[in-house]
Amino acid sequence: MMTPNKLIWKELWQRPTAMITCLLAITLGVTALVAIHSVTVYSQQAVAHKLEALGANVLLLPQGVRLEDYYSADAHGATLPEEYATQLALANLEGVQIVSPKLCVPVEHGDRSITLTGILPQSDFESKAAWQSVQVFSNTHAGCNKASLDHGSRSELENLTQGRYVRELAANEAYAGAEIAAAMGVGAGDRITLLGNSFRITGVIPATGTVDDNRVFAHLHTVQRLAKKGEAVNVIEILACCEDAASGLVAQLRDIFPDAKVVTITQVVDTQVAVNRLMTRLSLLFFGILLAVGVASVAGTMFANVTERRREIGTLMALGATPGLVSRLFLGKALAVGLVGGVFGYLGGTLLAVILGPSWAGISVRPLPWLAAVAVVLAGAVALAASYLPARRAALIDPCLCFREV
Amino acid sequence: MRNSFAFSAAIFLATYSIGGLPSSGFGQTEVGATPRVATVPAVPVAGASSPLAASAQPLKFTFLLFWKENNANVQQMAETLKAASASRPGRMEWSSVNVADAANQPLVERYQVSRAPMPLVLCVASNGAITGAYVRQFNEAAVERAIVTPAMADATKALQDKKIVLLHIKPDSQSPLPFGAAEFAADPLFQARTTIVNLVATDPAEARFLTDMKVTAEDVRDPMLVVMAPPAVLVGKFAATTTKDQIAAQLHAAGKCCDDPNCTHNKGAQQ
Repeated sequence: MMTPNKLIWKELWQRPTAMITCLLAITLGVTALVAIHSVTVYSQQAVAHKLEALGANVLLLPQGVRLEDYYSADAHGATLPEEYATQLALANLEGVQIVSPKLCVPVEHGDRSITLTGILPQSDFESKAAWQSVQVFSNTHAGCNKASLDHGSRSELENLTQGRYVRELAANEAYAGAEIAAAMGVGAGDRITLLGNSFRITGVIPATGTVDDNRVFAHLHTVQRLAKKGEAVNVIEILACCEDAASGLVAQLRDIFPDAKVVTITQVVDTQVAVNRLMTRLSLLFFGILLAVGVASVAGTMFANVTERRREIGTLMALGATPGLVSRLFLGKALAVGLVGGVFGYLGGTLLAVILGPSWAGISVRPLPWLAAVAVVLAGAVALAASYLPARRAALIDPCLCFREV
Repeated sequence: MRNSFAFSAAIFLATYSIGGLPSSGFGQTEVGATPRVATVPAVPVAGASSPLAASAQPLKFTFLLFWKENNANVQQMAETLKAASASRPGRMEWSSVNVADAANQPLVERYQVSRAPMPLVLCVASNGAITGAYVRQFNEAAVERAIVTPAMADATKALQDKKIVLLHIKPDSQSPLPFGAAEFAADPLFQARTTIVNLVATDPAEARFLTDMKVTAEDVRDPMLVVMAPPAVLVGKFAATTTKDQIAAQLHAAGKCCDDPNCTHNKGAQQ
């Protein structure tokens, strides 16, 4: 006996072209939605995580440098004089806690390109900042200068992971990012040769999910000497006591360094949030367009199918099929295509996001299970909506007219 | 302009190698005068460790003018130093240091100024404290600011050595260190990183120090304590009755920066 489900199944397999057209339209729409949404969700999480981890940071950059990502702030060719760091130390600005100048140099190690980052240890900054100790006598502690009571509570690896600075670093010591250390097969205590200089790996920085995983950090002055870059840096990172203090620093820094660009982490995050928002809106726009295309495609295919099958529908109704059953047959077919399209779309979109997320947005993306439910429900609903009118038209076919045509 | 290696070397040796000439005679001997603070002598007292402490030589200051290019700015700074030095014979001297001169490298390395903005003037007190650092702009007022009192120099040196400073301001030279301060200084947690600096409120040589800290000699009827922490944080002023725990709590708060109730950025404190 032919049940409605069997009829739907038979119909789908007998006319694969129509089915594939509908399936493709729905799958593509859902794939785009899932891919962009997955990247956006993880990008937002990464931004929030970075903001929490980095705290109140201010970046001093060469003018004209475009900043899209905090971690890549030093990955450009433009430079600042290193003496700005000393000037900053001597300025005795309220709320400045950490000053970390950096210089990035691309180097080859075997067949691998890595970034050698020169970093100035914090002790260098503190020794110069201490020259202004005498000013403490005339200042009440109404400002925001943190007393340095214990340097031993955080390891250098934690300093590098969470604050991107080191307290002490010898001339030929280096810290390797997790990814680069794994790729090079080196660990703490090993030696690597970069730019002809042998560095002892003091530690391997735990994975951060950022570009730092592919970097080797060494003393700034060693990197400057090896790369023949002179007394220059790409960025000076300033960690303020708190976000409020960081905001207060901006105007003072602009006064002291009028030829440099001063950016707060909040501004960087705002930029990234704006990019994420744009991506979300774009994903909705894409989805809208693909939805319209999908709806049109499904509706067109179904209308053509109804027109093409008028006689079979008329015969079916003459044999006792009710308009409701006919309608259900078409809607059921649409629903089946929609659900399968939703599943394929989710799988395709997730795969795309997982593969392209690290290269597009510098983040690692994992599948979002809840998005599967959304994708399947949405795809099914779209397919049903697109098939409603064709199904209704099929249900209204007069069997007498069909027989007359025969 | 004096610019010979011999002179620089002489300044270098005279100023830095001795690790602290006596800055003053601030009552190092009063510490531990009462039985209750018997543990305190283990705590460094400013100036006490110097072999020349008893000689009570006056504090001297050496201004080092570091430069790379002998331009008008360097000339102006040199002129300022020359005039200041002439008006303070025996109190200050100065030296011009061309950082590009190989002969000056020991001095440049000692202060790690090879990458500093130039010209740079450092004022070094005879106890080893750097009491002033000026980049590109320097005048007579800056000289005056850098020439600090003996107790200021001692406190500065201690802060630059990353020590917590307990500045004991006392009404007369016989006043003992307050019990809370003595207990704090004897605490194993703070002992190794605490320095006591003594100051007699009526000492005219320390008038500027008191003025800077907005303390008048009349205010100091009882011993008073000012606590400072590295790199340059005035933790607070305490009465003689303050306990060790109160000092420690305030110090702990100063290590929290914006969470410190004294901080202008502390939202909780402003409500």
